[in-house]
Amino acid sequence: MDISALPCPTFIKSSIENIASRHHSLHIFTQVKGAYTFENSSIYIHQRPKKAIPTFVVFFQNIFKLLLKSPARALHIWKHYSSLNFYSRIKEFNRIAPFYIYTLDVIHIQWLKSIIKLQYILENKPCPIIVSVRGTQMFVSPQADNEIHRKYLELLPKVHAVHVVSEALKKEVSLYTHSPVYLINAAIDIGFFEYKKPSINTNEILQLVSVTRFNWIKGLSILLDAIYILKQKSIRLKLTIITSDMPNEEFIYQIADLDLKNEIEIKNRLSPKQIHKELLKNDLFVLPSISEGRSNAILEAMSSGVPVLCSNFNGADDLIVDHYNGMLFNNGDSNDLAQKIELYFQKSNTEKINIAENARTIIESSYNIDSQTNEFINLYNRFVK
Amino acid sequence: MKHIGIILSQPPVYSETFLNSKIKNLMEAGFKVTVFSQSQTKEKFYFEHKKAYPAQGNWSLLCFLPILIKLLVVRFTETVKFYTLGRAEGQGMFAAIKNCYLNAHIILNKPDWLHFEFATLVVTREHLAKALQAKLSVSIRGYDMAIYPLKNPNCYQKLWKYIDKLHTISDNLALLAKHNGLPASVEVVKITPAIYTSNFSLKSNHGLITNKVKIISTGRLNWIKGVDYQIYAASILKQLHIDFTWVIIGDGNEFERCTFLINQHQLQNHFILLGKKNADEIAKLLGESDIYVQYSNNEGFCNAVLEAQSTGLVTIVSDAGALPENVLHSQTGFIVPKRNPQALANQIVEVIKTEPEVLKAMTLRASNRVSTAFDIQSQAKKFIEFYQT
Repeated sequence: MDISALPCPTFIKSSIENIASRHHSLHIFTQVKGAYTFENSSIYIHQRPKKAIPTFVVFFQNIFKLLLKSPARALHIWKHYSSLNFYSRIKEFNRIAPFYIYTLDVIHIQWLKSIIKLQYILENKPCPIIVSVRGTQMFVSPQADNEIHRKYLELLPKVHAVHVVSEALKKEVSLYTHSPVYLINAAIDIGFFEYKKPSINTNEILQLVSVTRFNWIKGLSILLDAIYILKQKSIRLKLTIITSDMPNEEFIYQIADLDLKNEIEIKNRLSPKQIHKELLKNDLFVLPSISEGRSNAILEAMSSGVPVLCSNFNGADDLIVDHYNGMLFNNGDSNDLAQKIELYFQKSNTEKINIAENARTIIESSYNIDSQTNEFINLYNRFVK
Repeated sequence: MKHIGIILSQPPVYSETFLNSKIKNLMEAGFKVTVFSQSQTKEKFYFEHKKAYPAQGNWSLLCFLPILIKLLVVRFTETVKFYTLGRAEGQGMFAAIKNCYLNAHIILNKPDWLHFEFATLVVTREHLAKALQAKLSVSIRGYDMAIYPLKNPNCYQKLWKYIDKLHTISDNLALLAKHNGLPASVEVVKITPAIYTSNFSLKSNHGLITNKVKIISTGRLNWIKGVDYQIYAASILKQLHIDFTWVIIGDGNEFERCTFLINQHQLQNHFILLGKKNADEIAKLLGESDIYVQYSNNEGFCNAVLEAQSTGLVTIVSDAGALPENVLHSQTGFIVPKRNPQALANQIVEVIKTEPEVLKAMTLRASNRVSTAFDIQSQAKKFIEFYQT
């Protein structure tokens, strides 16, 4: 499995742990930021260091192992990168060689953009290769960068199979390749994100929550504009932003510009347990993303019984049926978002509870980690000789 | 002859008319002008340019001690005073010594007047002018007052203590400076930006909206310029079946964001990112356009809006920062609430429906106002007065 860096997002980590728990051994090829381990002893991390001295150490280990196993392959990889300077050549060797040192049944590339740097293994396949396609790297990057678009067109047809997390992504991938595309939903541990019937807010202040990052693609500026619109209408509300990064300049300025200091609270670096607890304190989860593959945060909110309001980005309607198991607003439209927030709070208690219950039902049936693990193992088994 | 030291991060390039005309006019008026910058360029300029000694790498290690010795030999009193004041302001011993080294190019030249072109450039060396027994003045810009203090609260407290004179380009910025702690005792002089109106002469068909409406905007592709709101407004125009093109001149770090939104709203045939253009190309593009839009989230003043008005385009701006000082609503253009794409789209539709005579009169008024109130010559006189008193 190639994942560009560790620590990786929770959804990849859970997936790795669950697959390993079914008596499969996983080799993870990655760049490690600091010490990182998995509890399961059948997960092996093969790291590519960033610094020069460890890079040379790993290079000598890799070249020794590969020369023993396949000298021709070692020579071929080394020659392949002959146009690079010596240090870059060593780094690329460290990236590619492990795929040939270990005997693998399937290679799963977790991030689409990585196929560009892993072009060598796509052209000299050590075993079947599957690539996962998630939101931004398919919806955003190739549109803004012609070179990425060109590389996807060239390289995606070379993989054996593509894994996607939504129907919208499946459609987008078909523009690049005829390779088989498998939809395996994102998933969460529904036992951990336990359902709690929505409590009815008797407080006058509406409590909103969003789990997000400070990146334009997450649409926070639209949410802040909507809150400003509601504030102008004298609606009292509070938004809690749960995040793992620091607010950017755009966000800080917008809060000051719209005088929303009292309406916004940021909670940083919470554990999954704390996130669950925090979600339950709020009335409505808002996901204002401009584009998403599949947000795990929204799955966690739906599993926990917190009704969700989500932008109708490409693929949102795979998950949300408007007014049935959540609500949708027009992507990028802060006026519509403000109206939908108001509309939600005008709903009867029964309607709110129905939405929460329907949301939990769909998470249980289609987005739980156990069925996702089964589907991944089935997918790998299709290609294991 | 009064020696003015102008502190910048980079010496002004040819296209920076505001700074170039200021420096040229001061020199013509008999001032000695030295530009101090961090740039290590070897380029020759029409003004004296003194670059800082290397701040990073092996050269900085080699230069550090010799420069400190040179400072103590050539400018002993000033160097010791700068160090002592730095220590009194809470700088550590090494930080104060390092500060002497980093400002050695200024201390050694000892101007009579230090003028920092951006307030953020003064931070950590607010006491430099006092150590040199020079006057201290600062020009404030949008970023200096509207954004930097949000990330660095009370960042200008020391500056306000030492400053003699403040130059603002708008009333809005002066107000923000007060909000950021500027005491009433400090003299504030407003000198607005100015343009060479001859480079942006009034086009013959000024105020005319063509059948295929040509909208133009300039600015970096950055959130502060509100390009995403413009794209949302363009999407509304498209839904209303208005035949238009909207070009943006400028590049920036949010190209991906803009391109994605343009594609997402299927505006590829309407909304065009032209990239960076030189002054002549901008003048030509303005001459070919009907409506100019500056829908920024904040602006210190915005020269581009002056250029558009001078050319005779119908100008629509947001109510952010100093834009309402730049454009007079319903007289020389239109002002719409910021962060509201629907309001922007409505205003564009309104302009398209407006009688041509009304727009013709408005654009003529705008062009005349720019010629009289924002011409480069009167600006030059104001700067000379600024340093004479």
